[in-house]
Amino acid sequence: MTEQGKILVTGAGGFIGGRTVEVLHAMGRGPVVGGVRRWSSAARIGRFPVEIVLCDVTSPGSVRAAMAGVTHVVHCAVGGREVTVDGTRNVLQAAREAGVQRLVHISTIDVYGPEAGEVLESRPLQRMGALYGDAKIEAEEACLAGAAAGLPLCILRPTIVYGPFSNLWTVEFAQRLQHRPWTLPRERAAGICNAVYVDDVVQGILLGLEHPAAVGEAFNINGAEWPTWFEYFTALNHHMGLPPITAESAAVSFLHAWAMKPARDAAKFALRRFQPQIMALYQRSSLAKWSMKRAEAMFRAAPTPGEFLLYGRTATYPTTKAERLLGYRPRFPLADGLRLSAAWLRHHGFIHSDHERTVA
Amino acid sequence: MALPCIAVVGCGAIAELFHLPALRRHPDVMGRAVLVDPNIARATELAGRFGAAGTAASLDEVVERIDGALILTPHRLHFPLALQCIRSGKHVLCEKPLAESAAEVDALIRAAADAGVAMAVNNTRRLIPAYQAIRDRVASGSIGSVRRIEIEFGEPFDWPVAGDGYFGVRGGGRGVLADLGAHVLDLACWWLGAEPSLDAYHDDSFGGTEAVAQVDLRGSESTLGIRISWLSKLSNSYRIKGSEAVLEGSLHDFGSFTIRRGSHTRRERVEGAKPFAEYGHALLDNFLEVAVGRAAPLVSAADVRSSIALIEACYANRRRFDVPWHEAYTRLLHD
Repeated sequence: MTEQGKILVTGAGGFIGGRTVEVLHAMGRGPVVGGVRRWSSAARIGRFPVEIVLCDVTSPGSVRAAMAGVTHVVHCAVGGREVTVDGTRNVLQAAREAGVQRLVHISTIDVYGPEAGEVLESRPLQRMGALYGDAKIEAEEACLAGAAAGLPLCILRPTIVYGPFSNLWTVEFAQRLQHRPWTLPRERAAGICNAVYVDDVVQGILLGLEHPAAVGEAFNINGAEWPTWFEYFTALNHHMGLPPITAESAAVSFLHAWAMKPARDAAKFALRRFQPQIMALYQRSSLAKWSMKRAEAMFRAAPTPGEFLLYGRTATYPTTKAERLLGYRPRFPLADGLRLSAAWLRHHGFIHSDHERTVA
Repeated sequence: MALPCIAVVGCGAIAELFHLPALRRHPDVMGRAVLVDPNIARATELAGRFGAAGTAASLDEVVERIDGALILTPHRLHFPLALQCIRSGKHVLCEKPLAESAAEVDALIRAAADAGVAMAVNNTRRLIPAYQAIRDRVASGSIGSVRRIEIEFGEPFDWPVAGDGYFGVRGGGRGVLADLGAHVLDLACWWLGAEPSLDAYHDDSFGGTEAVAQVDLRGSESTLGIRISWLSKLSNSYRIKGSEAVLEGSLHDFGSFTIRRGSHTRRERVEGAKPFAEYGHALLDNFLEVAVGRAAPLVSAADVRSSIALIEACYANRRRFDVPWHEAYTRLLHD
């Protein structure tokens, strides 16, 4: 890094931000400041002797205060539009005012839309009417404006980030895999997963913070292997020590997902409308408790129709640009990343021992 | 009827969400209460919202004119503030954990005896009917001699802490063990009817506040395994294996548990279960009686001494879990 100062990580209570704080601290990369929106989200990074500050990116004053003495920023905070777009603008503004020397903005491959084939950074971004992807495009546009105004920054577009503390791609699937029957057959999950282990994303962040060639650029950050989704599930299943997946047929699976949709919608509606009454019934009646837990497990195990689109997509996101300009090289093959993930899942009680068998 | 003048010392989330709503059930007492916090704006806001009589920035300003104090500050301040109140002849109800060491608990007990005041502790779980029934079952020998106690207690941390004193260096390096552990280790000692010794203690602190902890204990004929977490939902259950039967239940089920004898399992229901906050009401109501000399504390400092001694022993012997997923970052250092 150029001149040593504090490194502020926004969204430090989250998955990627939390790991970034941990690694920066462990590697001794200068004083690290974990910015959290609420104190209650600091339990994970509080395990380390790092400075923790309130940094509500929706509040310009809060961001400005968090930026005191900061020379480098990793902007991981994400949320609704007010966080992702307005929050990013606030972070960029405060970083400019503070004279920040480098900012790494964490974006996503969702900015490309539902592309197929090899998707390189030069591909135009596509607004698809989806809150997350569209908001991230706006945030990137704000970053480009910031860069044009002289703020040295780069944009990272990680793919499917899995690993310890990933609720979406690790914990969620670990829970599904333990609820049999598994309802997602190979044919319905033949798309490319583009899994990248979280520490490889952190590698990209470290390079983005340090490398002169990163400034003004956007980079795909992907893993070294591009397994299909079914291969990803199967490998996770294996490392969790679960019995092999024996899925139902593709047709049954598809019907199952569609049949579950109205039930899922009805349950969501009922919970929204009658939550106190439902919770009271849950507490009073063991039959109601059993039925609700069973229904929750069923809903959790069954993919939604929308998921089939994701699991069928064949786009890949090569990292040739990051490799060429920054020297990025994924260090975590899928087997290693999933082995570490499974150990973490076990440690945190996400794998129930009655489901496990010994992994060969 | 004599009304106590109560100081509410510490205006964080626990005061706002539990103690002040409980105190508001006694408008006459609330009308005389004073809220104490160095963040005077916060104290003033809560005093206005709950109808307290006044505010103060420090205990020194009010300690002479109160009958009793609720100590609701960050953990490390419990002991000095409680001792200050006791030495001024005031009754105390302190949030858990009461203190950081057995010596501190002993000092509080001695000081309270010398001053003729009561030292009560907010270990609310001792009032839960199912837990009390379990203590009675074990004490009566109905499951034989205890061989093994297992307790798991954990949820992702979601307590709306109002300040930065809970985590990291500012949390004094004492995290989930001092927080959830103060409840669970107290239950374990209470159920066992004795203070077990420490076999091993592991947590995940890297110099800050631990978020996951494993406590392994040993009694005269038993072993105990306790796991607590701020980072994930655990089974939130207990199992007490005796030589003749096994007691099992959910920590969230205050009105029942199961007894298993051989292949026969029976659910035992216990009267009087109520929402969790109401056990706090009961402790507060008791304290208002304590503060005017009409009752003894439901949970006293002496009751929690064993669990505080164990927490102290844990921190003195802390070892880190094997965490390969953390150490994996070293792979980024090498080509």
